[in-house]
Amino acid sequence: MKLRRMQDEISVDLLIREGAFYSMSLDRAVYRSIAIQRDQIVALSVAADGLNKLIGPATRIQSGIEPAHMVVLGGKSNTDQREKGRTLRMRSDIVSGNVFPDYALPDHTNTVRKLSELQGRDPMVLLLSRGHF
Amino acid sequence: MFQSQVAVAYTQMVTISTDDHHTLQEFRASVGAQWTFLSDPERTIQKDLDIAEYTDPEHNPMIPHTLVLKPGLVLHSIYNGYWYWGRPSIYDLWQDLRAATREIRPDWDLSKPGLREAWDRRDFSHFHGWDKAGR
Repeated sequence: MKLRRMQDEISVDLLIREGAFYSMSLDRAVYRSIAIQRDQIVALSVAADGLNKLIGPATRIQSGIEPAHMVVLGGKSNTDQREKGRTLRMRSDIVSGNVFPDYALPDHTNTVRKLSELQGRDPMVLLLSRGHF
Repeated sequence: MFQSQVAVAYTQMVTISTDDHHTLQEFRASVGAQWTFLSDPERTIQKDLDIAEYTDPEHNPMIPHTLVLKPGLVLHSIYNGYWYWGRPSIYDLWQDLRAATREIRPDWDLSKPGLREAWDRRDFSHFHGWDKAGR
């Protein structure tokens, strides 16, 4: 796999020309399907057909991308992407009315707890936190 | 504090972070939290929900989100807290929890037709905290 690190601002068109992208600095995920609206990336999927459900009149899908020339975005250089509207969105089925996944994780006493168990029959406020740093 | 109000209002709070166990304990203690904190250092949720904060590759956290869930983990509202003002205020949460609770508690309005009659015949199935399953 040929990698090329990009440190400067990258246009959507350039990203598409470069092929499969993009690798997070730490998890190195390769995204092979891109949803674009008005020249802004609005969704990514690691599956080549992962965004098919998002196809609409205002959305362009670039799919089936091969990771022959994967572009690695430098994390620090992308700080301004939010101002330019190239934000990644939460998984598309995480919307009001749908059921949130029942994750099981260890709690602060190291006991594995399921969200449904913690919720019981009550409403629940769930905070997905940046963490303690 | 908001957590003390939540505790008496039949409502749960849970925080999930990408911290390891000991950092999670320190985090929980530092904010004086009484509610449950869950640790996800493998970033299972961050990856599963596509919410990696890619602008911070050093810590690789989740983009902060606050979710209000009705019973059954049904999503009521979602706040993206990447920016501070995207996060819900206590008053936002109060309104969400009011709407959600009104929707799920059949005894929200005690004047609803039939409730008084049910109570009088000791049918507590519509009265949260009085019904057998709630005790």
